[in-house]
Amino acid sequence: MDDVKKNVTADFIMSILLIIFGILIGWASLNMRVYNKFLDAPGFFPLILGIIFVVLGTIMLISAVKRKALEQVQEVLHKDRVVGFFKHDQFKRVMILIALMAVYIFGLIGNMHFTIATAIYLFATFLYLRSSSVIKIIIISIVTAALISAVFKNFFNIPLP
Amino acid sequence: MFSTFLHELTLFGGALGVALTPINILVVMGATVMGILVGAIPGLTATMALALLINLTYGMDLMIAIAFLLGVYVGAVMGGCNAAIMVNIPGTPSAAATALDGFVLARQGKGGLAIGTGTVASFIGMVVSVLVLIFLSPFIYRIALRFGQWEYFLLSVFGIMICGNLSTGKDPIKGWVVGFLGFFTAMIGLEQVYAYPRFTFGSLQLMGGIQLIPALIGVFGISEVLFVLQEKVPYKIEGTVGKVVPTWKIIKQIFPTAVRSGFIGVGIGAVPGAGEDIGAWVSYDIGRRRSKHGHEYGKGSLEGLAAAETANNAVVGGAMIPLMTLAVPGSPPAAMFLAAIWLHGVRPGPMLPVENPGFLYIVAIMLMLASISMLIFGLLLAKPMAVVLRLKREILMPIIVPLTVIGAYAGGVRVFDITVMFIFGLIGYVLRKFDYPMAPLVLGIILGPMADISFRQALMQSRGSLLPLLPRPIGAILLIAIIFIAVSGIRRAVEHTREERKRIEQEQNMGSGS
Amino acid sequence: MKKLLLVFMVLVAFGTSAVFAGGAQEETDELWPRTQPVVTVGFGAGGGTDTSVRPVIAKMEEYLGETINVVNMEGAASAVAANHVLNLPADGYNMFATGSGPFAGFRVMGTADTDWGDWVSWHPFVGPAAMLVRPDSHLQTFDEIMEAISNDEVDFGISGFGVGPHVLAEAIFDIAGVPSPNYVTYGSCRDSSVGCIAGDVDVTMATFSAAVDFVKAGDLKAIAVTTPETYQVNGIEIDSITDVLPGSEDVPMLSETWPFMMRRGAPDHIVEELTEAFIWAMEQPDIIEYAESQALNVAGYYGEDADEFLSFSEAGYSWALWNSGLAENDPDDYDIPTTADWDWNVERQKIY
Repeated sequence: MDDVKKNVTADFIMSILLIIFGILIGWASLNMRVYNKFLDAPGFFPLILGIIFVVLGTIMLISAVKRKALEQVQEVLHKDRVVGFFKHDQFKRVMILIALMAVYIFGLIGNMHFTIATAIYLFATFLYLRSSSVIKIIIISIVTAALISAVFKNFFNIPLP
Repeated sequence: MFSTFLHELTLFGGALGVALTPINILVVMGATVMGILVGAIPGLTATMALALLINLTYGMDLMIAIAFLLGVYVGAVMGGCNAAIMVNIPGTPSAAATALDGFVLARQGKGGLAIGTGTVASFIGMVVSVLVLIFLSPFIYRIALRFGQWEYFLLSVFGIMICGNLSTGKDPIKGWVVGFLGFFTAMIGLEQVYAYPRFTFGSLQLMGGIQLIPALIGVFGISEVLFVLQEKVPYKIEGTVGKVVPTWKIIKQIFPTAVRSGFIGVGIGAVPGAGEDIGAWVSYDIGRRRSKHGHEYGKGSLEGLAAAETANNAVVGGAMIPLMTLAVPGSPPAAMFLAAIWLHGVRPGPMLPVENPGFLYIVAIMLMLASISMLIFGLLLAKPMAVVLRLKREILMPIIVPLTVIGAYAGGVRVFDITVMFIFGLIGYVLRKFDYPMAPLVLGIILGPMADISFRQALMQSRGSLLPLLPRPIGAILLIAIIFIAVSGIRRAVEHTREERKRIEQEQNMGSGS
Repeated sequence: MKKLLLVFMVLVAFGTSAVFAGGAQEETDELWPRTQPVVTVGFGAGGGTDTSVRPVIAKMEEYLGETINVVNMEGAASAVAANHVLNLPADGYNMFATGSGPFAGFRVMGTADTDWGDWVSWHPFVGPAAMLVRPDSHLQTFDEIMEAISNDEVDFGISGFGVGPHVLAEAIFDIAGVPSPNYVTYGSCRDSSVGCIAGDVDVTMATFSAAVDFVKAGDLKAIAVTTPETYQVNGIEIDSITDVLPGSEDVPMLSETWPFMMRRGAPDHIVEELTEAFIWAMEQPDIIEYAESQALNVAGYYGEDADEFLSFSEAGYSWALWNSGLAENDPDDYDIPTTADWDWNVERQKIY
């Protein structure tokens, strides 16, 4: 049952975000340059999108309020719960996985050979996930990285990042 | 009449002679296998494969180049179902419809059978589409010409509405929100009429716009990797791979759906620019409405799988129709194919029957060859592929990450695309966490530019008034369909709200009672 | 099973990397010893730029005996690719390909701060544009079209604002003294031709190569082409714009080319050898045949001719963009003359 409550809260927050987003888009599109007529101006279609977002957001908001969102928001967003969420095991796992990817994409690629970057990334991720024994992890990381680079560079003849 | 028939027959015979050489057959087979493999690797897409291979085909003989590209094309579209089914990472938005049922089947331990059925369904789709290509392309070409800017606009909205409706269980509003977010994403960059920068914040990279392939790979690939690995103990694909070749009973059961979906796929594929991605969704929707087992769709229905998979392969043949008759490609991979034959000096279009008589038949025959080879190798490869894709998720999922990086980078050689891929992966993950479907987002990115530009062009043409547009017949039908979907969707959303409200109230009563 | 798989993977990896290493060691004594050069095409695969650059590059590869990679980087009318190449060193390994029209518009559109002065360019083909109508249209001559435009009765199809056909059309209307018609943009010349066949627009202006087969098949009728002389295609004779519109002698010079270019400052020997290969390639029968089949004219501009051509285009396109209210920046800010004031002897001093 907690799920339903969480969903209602999420819908509630999302609907408000959508409405704000819609208004922002609408405002931005009204500020876009008009060349000939407003109907073929660059801002026309985004304006319609903004309106659609506001409408969809309102529908969601009404639906959420009908599902007693206001009461539940307080409950779900209670301080302990929020703290609990950030301490939650799943949250930590995802954050670490994302961090590993970010380091790989923004830090390693471009600064070293693609193969080496990939091997390091795979090794670190496997290690974190405890996918297998350390020796196997090392072998799999190196072999996969070399294989991927070789196949793409040789077979497809494409430049690697 | 009879003499034209005889003439066509001679051309067909000639084409058979040119196309069916041992070397061509070998090339088609090799290319199909390669296509299946590329399609089956999560993170790589048919469009990317064809874009990369154009360079290779330039030096080839024309016939071999055609055999090669069509083989890869057909193979990759079908191979995409492997990744969609076993790993839940569709290589194209059309394969996202396949994943709805396919991944459920795989979790139930019927992955092999799902791939096998998908392969057979793809084959049926190809056969239908090739037959239509040979016999009906002049008629379909006339109809396609009736599609003006206004119809394109409505078709793209129709696609989003239907996809949003189907990819969420109970609450279509969420699907639409995501779909229109996709539209918005497509607005970023220099717009196509005046080259005015929209939502670029002065960034040159953003001026180039968000490219489809990186966004697609991120939304389906990275988000799936995170979604699976967030669990301390990721799911395992249960059981053995099991049987691959579907029984006669299954084939009989899916056959009517498959043939119908085949025709839908061809029809939609024939509309330039819209094809591939809407095709699978429309066919899935119609399948669900028409089927006796419609309620099983999305819960592991082989019929639903067939509806989607047949249609997305049938689109391949369908997309060839505007390509051959107008030289306007019906889908991104078809655009790559057009570029390749163009470079060989073959110009499709109205002069094709004069300048290159029989070329249409050659393409049709090659497509047929590729489908047969796809059927054979698809079934042969299904088992080993399923075995590989069953690999422990803790190992398979991280390996997908570098593949997505390559997939995003290779098409445009922009480092920025990798960033786009990553960011869309994160967005995708967050949205999925809150039960938002991914497919409409990607479809929105594809259809957004079309919706925007064709809407404004329609208005340019009618000099700023909507009234002259409303009575156009195809447009009117589409408009009614859109309104119907919107109304029925909102009604469903209201029902859904009511249900949940009841549940919450019940619980509250119980809570206060105890 | 898993072990087997592992062993298999190791074997394959060693096999491939062996091939890989073997392949990498052969290269010595070449024009590009470090790595393969890359031509970044600013438009999609199969587009006008792509299809006119690739065949020529392939021919040049034959002459040079080396591989030149061609990649596509779309976005912002090729400005994304231009900036990408501008950010790479001018070491002769990186080239850029685009259309002369979009290239001429970079500075006034504010998308890339670069012009012909920064690049050495090679132009294989030039593509005239044609004014097209349906064969059963009520507008059958150039004068009838101009008349109808001045009565504001014409929906006029173009691929987009600021590209070749639009600028050419504007130049023509300017000389003919008629106002701009109701433009409908289609995104590509092919699509605007199809739109004309379908009857969505009355007249279309398109790069001729994108519509030539429709003309051959009788689906469209060409009223005039922007070539200096009359044009023959399949026995159909098409008027040159200069025949039907007096005073339009300069218009053909605004036709688009699709050059590939390299930053100035690249090693001389690379530029020289590329030019040699280019001259050779443009003389090969299959390239000439290819041009004919695509209704392109062989241009073969390089060196100073190429610079002169680009400089004139910049004058034409910048002012056309500015006058139709599309440009971000005033051409005067960049000292770009109008075509009427343009003089190569003055312009060439900006670089030579």
